[in-house]
Amino acid sequence: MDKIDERDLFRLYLRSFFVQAGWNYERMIALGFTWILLPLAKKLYPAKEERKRFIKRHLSTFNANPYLATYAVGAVAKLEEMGTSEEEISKFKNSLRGPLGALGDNLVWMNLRPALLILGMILASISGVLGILVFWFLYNIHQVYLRARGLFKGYTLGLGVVSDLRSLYYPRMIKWISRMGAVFLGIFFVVNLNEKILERIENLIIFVLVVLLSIFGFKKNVNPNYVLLVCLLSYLLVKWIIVLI
Amino acid sequence: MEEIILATILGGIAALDKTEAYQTMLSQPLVLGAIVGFFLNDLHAGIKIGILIQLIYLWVLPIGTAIFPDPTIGGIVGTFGFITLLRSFPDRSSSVLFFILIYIVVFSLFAGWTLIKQRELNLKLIRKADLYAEKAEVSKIYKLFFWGLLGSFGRGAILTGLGILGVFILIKPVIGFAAFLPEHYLAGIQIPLLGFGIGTMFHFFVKGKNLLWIVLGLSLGSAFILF
Repeated sequence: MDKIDERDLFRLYLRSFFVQAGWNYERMIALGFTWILLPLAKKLYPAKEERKRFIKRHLSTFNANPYLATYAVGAVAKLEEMGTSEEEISKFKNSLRGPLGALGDNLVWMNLRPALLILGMILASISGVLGILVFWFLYNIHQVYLRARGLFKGYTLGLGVVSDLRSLYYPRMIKWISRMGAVFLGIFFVVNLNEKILERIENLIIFVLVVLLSIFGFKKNVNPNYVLLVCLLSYLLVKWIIVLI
Repeated sequence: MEEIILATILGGIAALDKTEAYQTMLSQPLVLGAIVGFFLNDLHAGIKIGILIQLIYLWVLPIGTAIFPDPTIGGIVGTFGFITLLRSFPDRSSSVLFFILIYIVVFSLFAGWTLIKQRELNLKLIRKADLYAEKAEVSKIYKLFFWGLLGSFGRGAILTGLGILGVFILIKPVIGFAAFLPEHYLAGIQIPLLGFGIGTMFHFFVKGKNLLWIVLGLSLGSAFILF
């Protein structure tokens, strides 16, 4: 008989928005992860000794993308409910760290966030605050969905949750978001290539120079702060040379 | 004064959004610029500077344990500074923008450093959690969790207050001293920022198979401009 009901899962879901609370360099999201699971400790382990072991095993090092951490939350809830051994739960959590981190980085930080931010900047420069609201709603629809999907799949699949992470669903999603990002980049480029850049030849030279310099800097893994500084200095230098001429 | 208090509260909430809680992207300079602009009754300027700061920091990825600048607080302080300094120097908008941008870059690095320190302090929370776990004291672990949130809120609020103070103590006099700089010299300062932002976008999205999609975007953009 199931010990965890839908209400418990909903509680876990709401708590998952705080998974990074107390993030530290030694055990990363362990404190937030444990806090999310605490209601289960009371429910599944009424005896003090069992509860103590439950808390201790979840305070061990764990990390995941904040939006996808719910995969681990759901799956761990299922394993705890099934009475899976402590060693197996720890091993399982360790095996999830890599896939959850890598997928989250690629999906959210490298694609979804920059793509929607570019869209937000385009719309904000055209229609003001409305564009920012569009960005914010679109982004949050995704994050609310990702967290819910993770929890549902995690709890349903338990130990087999990796199968969902390795399915074609996420690679397809990443591919389409990346394409959308490329479209938004094209639109942003044209919309912002305004009179100010095109009106004077030196402005156009600075613009092209800075774009190339930035691309080169990112390719060579140069600290972007330095690249930005060089970009600003190049601008001042070109302006100064023109004043001298 | 009310505006500064509102900005510091916003700083606390945004710092929470960036790291510890909910991650709704309220902490992005694009969004914060509009909110601060709204507080200061200059939504247009807030959005404008918000876009510029976003362009500078589009590359920042909160991945793993990487050390990164914190453009969240920088975004609030920069927007606040830009709009309030424009009131003092209404005919020197380019100089104000230039010095504020320099300030944001330096301040965001400092804010990023404080984030590292906060995360080091969080180690104490996890050590205490270990002790409470030994006694299965669930309620005390709840308290530690709230301390974690409070620490993040406090960092954001205090830094925002300090940053705004810095705008008036450091940047305002510098703009006053730099009156010899002709305004037209700095008039195109947005151009390198735009170029840097587009370079960042290339870094994310220019891949072999995406080229056709970029062409589609260029066509859509051109159609929008023409019609």
